[in-house]
Amino acid sequence: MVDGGDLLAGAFIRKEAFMTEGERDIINYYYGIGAPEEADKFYKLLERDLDKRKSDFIAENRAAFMAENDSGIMRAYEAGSNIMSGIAGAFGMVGETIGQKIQNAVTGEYRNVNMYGVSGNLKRNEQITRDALVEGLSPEMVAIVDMGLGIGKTLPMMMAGPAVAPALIGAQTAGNTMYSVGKRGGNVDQMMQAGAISGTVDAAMSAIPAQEFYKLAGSAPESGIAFAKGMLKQAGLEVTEAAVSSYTQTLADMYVMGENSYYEQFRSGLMANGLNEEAATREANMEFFVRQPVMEMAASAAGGAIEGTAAQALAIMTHRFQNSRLKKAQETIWENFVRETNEIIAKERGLNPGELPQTPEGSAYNPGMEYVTPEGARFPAGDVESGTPGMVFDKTGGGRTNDVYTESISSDTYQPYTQISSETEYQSLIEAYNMEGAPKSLAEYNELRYTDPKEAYLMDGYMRAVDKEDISVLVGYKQYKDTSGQIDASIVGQQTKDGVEIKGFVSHFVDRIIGQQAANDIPISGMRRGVMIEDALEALKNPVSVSQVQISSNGLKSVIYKGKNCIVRINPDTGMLIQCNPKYFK
Amino acid sequence: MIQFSKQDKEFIMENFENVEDIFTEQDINKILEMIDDLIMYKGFDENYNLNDFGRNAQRVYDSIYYNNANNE
Repeated sequence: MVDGGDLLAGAFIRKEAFMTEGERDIINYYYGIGAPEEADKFYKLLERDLDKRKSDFIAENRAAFMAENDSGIMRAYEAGSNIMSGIAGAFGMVGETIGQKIQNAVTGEYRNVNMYGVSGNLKRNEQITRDALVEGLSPEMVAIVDMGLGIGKTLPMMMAGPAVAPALIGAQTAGNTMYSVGKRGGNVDQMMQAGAISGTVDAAMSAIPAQEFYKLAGSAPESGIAFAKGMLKQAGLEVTEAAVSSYTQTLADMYVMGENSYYEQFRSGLMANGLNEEAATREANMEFFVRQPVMEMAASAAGGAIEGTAAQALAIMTHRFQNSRLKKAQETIWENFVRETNEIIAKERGLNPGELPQTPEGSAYNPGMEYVTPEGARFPAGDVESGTPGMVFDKTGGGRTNDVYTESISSDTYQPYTQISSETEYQSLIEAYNMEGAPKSLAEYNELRYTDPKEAYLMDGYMRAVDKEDISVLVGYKQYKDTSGQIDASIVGQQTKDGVEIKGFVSHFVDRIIGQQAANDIPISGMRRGVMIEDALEALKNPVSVSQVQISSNGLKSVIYKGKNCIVRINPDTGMLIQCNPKYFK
Repeated sequence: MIQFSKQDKEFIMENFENVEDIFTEQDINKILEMIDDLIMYKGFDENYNLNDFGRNAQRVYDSIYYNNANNE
């Protein structure tokens, strides 16, 4: 027997109570023949329908119960329940929508969000209680009640303080929008798009009434209008006072439809790698409609106004990676994306992937660049912490970084110079190779090719050069690294006399600059001198002669720049310095 | 007169046809450039690391350079 208290509480009514007799018989049959897993399967098929039956029952009977028992106490309950349901349902809907998206990604099955689950019922309850409250009221009074309920849902957010209030409002708005889209039959992607984007934009919009509260509290933050306009302007949209709210959808379309958007690059990269359009779109939507809007809005929000939303989204997204299957899938997608993006860009430029011009890892910190981790978190230039796995993207439209060292160590032919199996072995190697300045632990070393491809490349080159006696172990890794830094500072980024931009150097070039003794040391018999960096630069900038392009036996291109004191070779396509030999002069 | 070590001579004889011309050449830079060309032509693997041949050729380059530089 369901009584009024049960109707109001709702959660204590078991959905199994709404099974038909025939459905119960089927479950009993499966249990009877010793096939409980079949019974579970059947129940799962029914489950959402049971949720709906329960929700319909409660909605219908709760409204009737409240009408029959109308009183001051009931009205207080209705108002409180409405506010609670509105807030909790909205937040829950965000979680459930994202959760369904994740579940779809994991299982490969496509299911819409359960609109009759806990959050759906809360949202439904919000509607029921609101209807009960305004029953029989004049339109003016309905408006006042709605305003009161709105304030009731906003005030708790305001209590959270200026820093996080807009974030909470943004999340609430997103949840409301998701519910609204889902109720109209929208699928999980549509809910995600509508909720994520309108939520973040509305977070800014919500700063407008919030401003009034802040003024009352005597702690008004920056203007909400200016904040919203700033965000939209950043997105490349013209902004007028009256048109601000209408840009919500335009902003969504920009993310979705822009041919040169990251979204399209990401999606194309996945499809080029063999994912079908649906799967690629699903991944791109997850990336760009959940994480991106929140993160980017948060990043651009003055004073960290919606960082709470970003943190919340991140917390939810983090759960993706607690599932090993999805984590592996994500890693594979990421690796494929990186490789495919290389290939696409190389093709556009008429190059082989190995010939892509590249810049050092430091470009991550250049204006206009952003750093993207395998999990999809994006960092503006300069904000990425050292040691964060990921890659650099050029926000100005270059597609991705041209990091020569990432490219080098990512090539199919590249093998780390040595495989190290234990911390003890690594520490012995550090000592034997005189590698002060190398990563302190094996764990750091193993991550190096992801966190600092250039250093990974240099370490390999240094150990190889020492083993092959191209340089003396007494040179030490620290000097090797310092020398490469000097080459970076003095030569990389310069142009040769005939206009080739120097973009990097192979490790052999460092060996040649260093020599077995420093270039300016007193000559020692049997010990090769290096080449002065300024001599190499002089050969490139003011050569005595420049050769035609030469092709090696295995297809490597080079052009020779003969200077007064040395001969330098460079790959004219990649801008990589290859070789440097001293010239004889009297 | 350009000085060649035993190893330099062996390498040149193995890898060049115009050995006589090389051993009588007076301009050391011409010889060094020939070796430099040879290093680039077949001395690197696809990752621009010196292979054994390249390393050997590079040693010869350095040997000729320094043996003669030290004689000046």
